[in-house]
Amino acid sequence: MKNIIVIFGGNSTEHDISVITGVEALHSMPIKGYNTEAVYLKDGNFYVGDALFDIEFYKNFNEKLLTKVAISDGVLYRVKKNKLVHYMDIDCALLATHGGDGEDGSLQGLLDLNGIPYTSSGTRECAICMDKELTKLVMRALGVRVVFGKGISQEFTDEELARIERAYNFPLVVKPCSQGSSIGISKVCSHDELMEGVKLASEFSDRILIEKGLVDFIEINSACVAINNKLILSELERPLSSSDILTFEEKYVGNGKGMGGGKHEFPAKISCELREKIRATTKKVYRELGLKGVVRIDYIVYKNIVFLNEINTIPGSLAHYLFDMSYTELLKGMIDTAIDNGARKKIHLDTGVLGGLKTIKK
Amino acid sequence: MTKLTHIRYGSGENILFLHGWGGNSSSLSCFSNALKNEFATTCVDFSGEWQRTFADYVDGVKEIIDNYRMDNVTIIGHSFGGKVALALAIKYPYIINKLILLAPSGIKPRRGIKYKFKVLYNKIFKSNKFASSDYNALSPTMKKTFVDIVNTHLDKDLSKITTKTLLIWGNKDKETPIYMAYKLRRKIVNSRLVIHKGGHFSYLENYPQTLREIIKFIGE
Repeated sequence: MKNIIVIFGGNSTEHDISVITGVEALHSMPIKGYNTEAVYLKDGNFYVGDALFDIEFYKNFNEKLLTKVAISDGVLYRVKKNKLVHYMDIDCALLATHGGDGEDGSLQGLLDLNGIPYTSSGTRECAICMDKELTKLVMRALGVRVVFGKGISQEFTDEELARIERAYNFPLVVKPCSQGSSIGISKVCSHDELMEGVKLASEFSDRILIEKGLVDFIEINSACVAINNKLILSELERPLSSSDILTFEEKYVGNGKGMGGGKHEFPAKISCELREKIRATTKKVYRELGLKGVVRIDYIVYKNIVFLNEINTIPGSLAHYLFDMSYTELLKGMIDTAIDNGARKKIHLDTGVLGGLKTIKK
Repeated sequence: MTKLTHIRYGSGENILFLHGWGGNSSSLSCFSNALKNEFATTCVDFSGEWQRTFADYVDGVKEIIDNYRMDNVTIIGHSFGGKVALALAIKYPYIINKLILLAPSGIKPRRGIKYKFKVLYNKIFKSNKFASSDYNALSPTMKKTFVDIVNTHLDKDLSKITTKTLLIWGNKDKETPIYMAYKLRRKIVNSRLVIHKGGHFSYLENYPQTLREIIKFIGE
């Protein structure tokens, strides 16, 4: 019997999407030999309760139906009158958090400290992929093509902005560096619009990324998961959108069927050559960054050139709709692989420095 | 005897669904649909106009079990279906893995003086004035079947059951009152009782919790 917690929610603009992914995963979890508990992260608190399995519950959140818990020592404790009461052991955590503290490495750090194996990439990889500017820098170093772009801080100078305008020419795309999803992104065609876009983006992030805006490109998504140390690449998906940038509404709102229900072309009708190129890139990035669990990499194809756009370390609906296996099989594979790999190893070397300290007698 | 019809889905370990009186094979589909990804689910249909005895129903289900060679089957039964499940667990303990009983019948009800008066009245005047609504809704052939079913009680054989059993009950159940739950809990050694708010169909009133209980129990 393996005790699994499914963590979702979190402090993020994608909180609601995470709830959908989480509840969807809860209902697809393998049954035989697995004891599943839902752990909902809200406003910095962890909650458990059977009510969490019902999607209707989140429409009017009622704290009274839930039990507050805390993770410590690799065990889930119930918080009762400021005392900790043992609730259950944890063998593995399945992460269904999107954006914010659940995907940027914070939650992963907490689980690392507790010695709990989890199904997503580690702290370092999550932090890199969550930050659009860092992703660009690391990808350039790995030799993966990315769209031209430069990050600026909130205290940018006019000169800095002018230099970017000159270098890339309009249209430009302004993005907050550390936001998943499509929130706070705008496409700008003039200096005034650029200033407005930068102002909007700075609401969401300390650093702002300004990218060359491309026209007439197509988007291609590719997912990848390592199960039993074997890399499984999905077929490619082409999300269809009426405008050039997939807005938040287009991506998520308007269909209640999770993220697989959105408008898309699957498998994407692109040339064999392009398909191989994209899949090879996904494989390379997954291996060289040391990613774990399901990862969805979003590409932009412009004039037959492939640009890596974004790496989602915890994609919506865990991208299960892209794989040629049932959701239950995918979850089972991810969990078993995470448990086999174990928690991050703690290296403990006794350097003897403290023992060698001499107490100074007065 | 006419064979019982049934619907089968999925593959894996076997789970058998036995619905309650007046239902059909889709009465428990809310659970079978949630489980068919990982298990082979078989929903038996008891409806149909044939005169049978209670033992015929039990044999009919056993036939289905044998037909698919389900040697380690988990049975989920509601009300009358729960009673059939209990009878199977008494008769063939070695083929059953786990029992999940949602307010099963089969326990001899406690009858008060009022009830005895009503029965006497019906017998003397040959009327149906005080007969149950379930009974009145039936055709003459089915009335005989119904009488046989209602008058079969499993009380004295219950202690033979060693199968791991989960009992789920509604606290305001009128058809199978809560004292039956306590009796079953006492008599079946390896049993656990969960009480929800609600009546005889508390599994529908508290569907998410019930599904959780069932999944946890099967997963153990």
